[in-house]
Amino acid sequence: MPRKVEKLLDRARQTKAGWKSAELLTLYSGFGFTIREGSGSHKVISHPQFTHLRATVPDHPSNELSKKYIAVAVKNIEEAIRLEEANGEESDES
Amino acid sequence: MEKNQMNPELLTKAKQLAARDYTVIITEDTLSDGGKIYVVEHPELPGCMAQGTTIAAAQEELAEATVDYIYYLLEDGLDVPDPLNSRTVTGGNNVPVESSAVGMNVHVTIHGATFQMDVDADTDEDDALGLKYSVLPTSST
Repeated sequence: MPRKVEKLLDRARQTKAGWKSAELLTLYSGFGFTIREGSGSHKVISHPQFTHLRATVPDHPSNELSKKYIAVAVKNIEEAIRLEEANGEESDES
Repeated sequence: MEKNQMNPELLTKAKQLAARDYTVIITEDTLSDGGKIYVVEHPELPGCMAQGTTIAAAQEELAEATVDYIYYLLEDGLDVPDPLNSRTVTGGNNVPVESSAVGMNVHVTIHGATFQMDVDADTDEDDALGLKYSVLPTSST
């Protein structure tokens, strides 16, 4: 995992204020999430393997995001990491 | 990131499904410059949310985001969650609320009736990121 993305995740865990959409999209994509264009002013985030991990993110690069978006991103990414690790352990055992 | 050409048929279906009566949770938040912002979300569709400087603007954005969210559920061949049964919620059962709402002023609108709740981290804590709270009606619209 690139160190830059890990640092970004650490920042998200510690500080949920002051984030812009572009930074949040970088964070999601750095952890393997897919970013797809919506019909209007949102992007739809989903994980290719763990398809229940989803979110919408406003497509307004200069606007500050509510802290809630960052909390949801941290939750989604941590869950993806946990599931990937669990899958890895299962593969090791078989 | 590639610009995706949306399938018109799927988009029409997504719009129909998104027009159903999903629960709306409104959360007031403060930006770093002290400005107020409202976040609205549908708890039935985890992660589906929008923000705006007014509740009306946020709800308008949410309508659009919901269509997109459902569109990609359909495109991925996944089930689209149904709106919550209003009886389940107004009966005093729990509504899932993100832990990020702790300390915020949260309103829930279900089938036109508005509820307000104080989000307390000590209440019915399931886990660090999946808190549940009882909702008591405080007003109706």
